[in-house]
Amino acid sequence: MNFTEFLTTGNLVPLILKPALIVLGFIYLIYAIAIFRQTQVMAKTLIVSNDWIIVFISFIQLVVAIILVAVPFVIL
Amino acid sequence: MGETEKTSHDLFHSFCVRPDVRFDTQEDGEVVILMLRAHPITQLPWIISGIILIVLLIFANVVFFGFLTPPQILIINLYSVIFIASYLWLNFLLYFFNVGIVTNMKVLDIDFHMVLYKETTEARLDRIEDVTAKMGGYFASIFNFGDVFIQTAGTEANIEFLKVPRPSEVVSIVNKLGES
Repeated sequence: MNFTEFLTTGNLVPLILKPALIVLGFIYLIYAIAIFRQTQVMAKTLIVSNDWIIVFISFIQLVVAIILVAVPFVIL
Repeated sequence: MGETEKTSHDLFHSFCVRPDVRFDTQEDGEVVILMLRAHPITQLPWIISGIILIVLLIFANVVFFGFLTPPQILIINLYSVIFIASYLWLNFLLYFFNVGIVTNMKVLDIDFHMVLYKETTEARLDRIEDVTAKMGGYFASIFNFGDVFIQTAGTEANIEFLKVPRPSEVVSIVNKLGES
């Protein structure tokens, strides 16, 4: 899972995968925050019945984004 | 005005007469007569793209299964599924919240560009000078959708309802409301 492993096995995947997924996770977290905030703005602009479902799904997306940031540290 | 007196939600809520919706700049006594979204058939490209991405993910799992360890496969699948779900969700939000609204007082066009930019254009019915419907292409003719352009007097912004169902009916409703 580190540079030593790459030198001994020649396998690039573990060396690249973890940092790439961490960066991806942070980018996705920023995106999820933006979508969540904007969904709230959208729901205030156009008020429909049961619009809490839409805001809730965007909130789930935000929670998933936080989990995604943590996952590479835990599994890889 | 018989066609606008009864509540109806046609074509996956893309042509709603007297819907149970409100908007942030709604005035007292203002009633929503018509709410329009893009025709559902115009949403097919992103739906098909989503299906193709899911098929590609399944294909990639079959091809690369032997090259990666189980945790790596799990994580790559997890990220891919979330990416596809986010793509579909973003497009649904854009479809759902980009609406055109006709009330008994004014016409509104609410647009969210790539979700992050909000644009609301309003024109009072008594300021409307010309309403035009444009239909072009095979799909538009077959499924009866097109663009409605509403020109206003003076310096007020013009309003566009793009790819909405039954454009001729929309023109008729706006004209009748403008006359009354």
